[in-house]
Amino acid sequence: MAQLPADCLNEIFEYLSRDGKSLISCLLVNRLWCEIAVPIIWRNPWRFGKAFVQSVLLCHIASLPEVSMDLLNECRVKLNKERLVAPPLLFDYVRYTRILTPFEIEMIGSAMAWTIENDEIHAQYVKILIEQELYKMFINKCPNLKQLHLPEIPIWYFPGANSCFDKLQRLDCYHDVPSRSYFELAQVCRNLKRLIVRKFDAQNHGLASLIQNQHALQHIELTSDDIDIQHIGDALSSQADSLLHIYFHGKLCIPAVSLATLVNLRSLKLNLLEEVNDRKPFESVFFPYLEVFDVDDFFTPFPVYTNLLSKSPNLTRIHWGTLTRASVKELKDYIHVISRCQNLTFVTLWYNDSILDCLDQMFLSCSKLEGIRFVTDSVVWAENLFNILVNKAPNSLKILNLGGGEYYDSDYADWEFTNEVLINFLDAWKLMKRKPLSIYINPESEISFSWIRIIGKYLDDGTLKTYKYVDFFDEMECIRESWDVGINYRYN
Amino acid sequence: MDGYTSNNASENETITLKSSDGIEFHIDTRIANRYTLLNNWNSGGTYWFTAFKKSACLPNVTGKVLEKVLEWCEHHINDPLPNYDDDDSRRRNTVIDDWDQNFLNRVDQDMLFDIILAANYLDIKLLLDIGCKTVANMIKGKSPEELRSSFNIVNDFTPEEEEAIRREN
Repeated sequence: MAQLPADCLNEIFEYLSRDGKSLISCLLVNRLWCEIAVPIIWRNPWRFGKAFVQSVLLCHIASLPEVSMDLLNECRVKLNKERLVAPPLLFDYVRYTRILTPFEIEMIGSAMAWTIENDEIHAQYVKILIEQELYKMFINKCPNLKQLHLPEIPIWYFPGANSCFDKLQRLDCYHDVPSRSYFELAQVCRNLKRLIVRKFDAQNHGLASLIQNQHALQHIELTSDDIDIQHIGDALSSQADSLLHIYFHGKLCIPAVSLATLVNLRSLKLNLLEEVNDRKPFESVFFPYLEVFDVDDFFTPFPVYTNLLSKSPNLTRIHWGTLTRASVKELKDYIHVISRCQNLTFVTLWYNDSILDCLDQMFLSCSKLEGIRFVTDSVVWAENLFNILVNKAPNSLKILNLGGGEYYDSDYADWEFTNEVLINFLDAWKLMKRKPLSIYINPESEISFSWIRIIGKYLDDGTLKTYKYVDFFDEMECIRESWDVGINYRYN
Repeated sequence: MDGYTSNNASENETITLKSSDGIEFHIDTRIANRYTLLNNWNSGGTYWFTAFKKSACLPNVTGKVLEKVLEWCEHHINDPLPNYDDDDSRRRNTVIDDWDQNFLNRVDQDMLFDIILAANYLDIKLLLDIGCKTVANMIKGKSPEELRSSFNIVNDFTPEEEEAIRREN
């Protein structure tokens, strides 16, 4: 029999990278299989959950260099002897690590030591010391670290940091990192593809330097309470050639003129706590390649976004979590605009009976539509909508979200239909041999026993794939993955 | 002996591939271009080719295997070109489309491995992918003993090594 060489076996095992049980079986087949499976398992061993935690702790603790152990002993750290095995291990497992977060460090740290009872200050001291020695080990030993949650310890000074940070592709900064630290990081960390910054302010020039020093940043997420930060805008403009995905949370922290330079964007996500204030330049923003537009914004007038979308013919997904209200005319303009996007697979719409004619047109143009989210801020009688969906929606449609209950300022929003209306809708759906439908509905809708029985029947016969009550549609696994575009660094 | 001939051979320019056992296959140049075969020849490293670059000898692929590989290439000639940039998304699932599944179900394990080796050698990523997915599906859920038996593999661990692997993993 032909034997597969190591590179082909590696390709095969990659397909099992989320299947811990099968990978562990592969480990025990023979030496070659073991050598190939170990790096795949150990690049992020925590993903296999409880069953693997003991092995991970054991091997990571045993990998701690002697100099670190001596230091801990000198500092009166009582090590948990039961956790320690006599080195050497069969493999240098630590070197395969690709993801490092404070969670892992804390897990290992807490498994390592007992602290002196009733001495809180010493306990804190020990905790930080252990964290420091663990980070030192990982930074020094992991040549292929790809994803890092930046800790508060300045780990970029540790031995091996230059090489380690040089290959880093994703950096998550969840705490308020000082400007100076970003300046220091910018010297060693230049190949990021994805950067997530959860907190920063207008005074942080170091962050601009870090962004500017990247060779080809592709994805950035920025959370700030400040607006129009010119140096951050300039830094992002410097990455315009490579930047494909951008997410602003809190405020639109860069000037609209800077946003307008990012002409290669494929996805734009805005989660805004106040209206876009720089409206004039915002109107000239033009993203010809934009595919995904994902917005939570209660404040910016609806037509502002219609205008933006009118210049993005390649859109495939438009998702609004929350959106400002639209008049019937504004809504019709919006539907007219998005009807030009022939590749659209998912769209969000305010619902109003007056738009049924336009919906008909949109269904004709957008023949690839797979999902629609309708929102309302009032009580809607759903029969008309059901009729047009079953008769006019493209055959590709398989996800329907009836939402709106999340609007804090609406008195009462609901989708109302009798059992007969629902049965007629689902019977017609079945009769037309449409794809199994997933319905996600506003949780405020009342549930009756007869309803549950009806839903159960159509789930059983395959007319329905799912029927769920959800608070926030964008948290549903079925659609979240499709917004979560960009580079995937989960290293599973 | 002449082997596989592309359906469009008379309409389009063809090139000749010669397998390790001397069987010649006349294929549409579109196939060669699509799967970067010609690019590899031009770089000169992997295959031997004539001065006119109209024929090439593949010393590592037998006629029987090359015939299957070309059958697959011919079927997929009009597929949209995939994006090879994101290895991780390529490997997210082990679903194989019906035609490919049927294509690989018709071969025995030796041929499956030979197709994988040929796809790797000829740098035909999509065929390599479905071959690897098929083997991955064969591995799923099996114990180490079952895997050794299925793939005819000898356990070369010492008892001490095996015990250490179990302890550390």
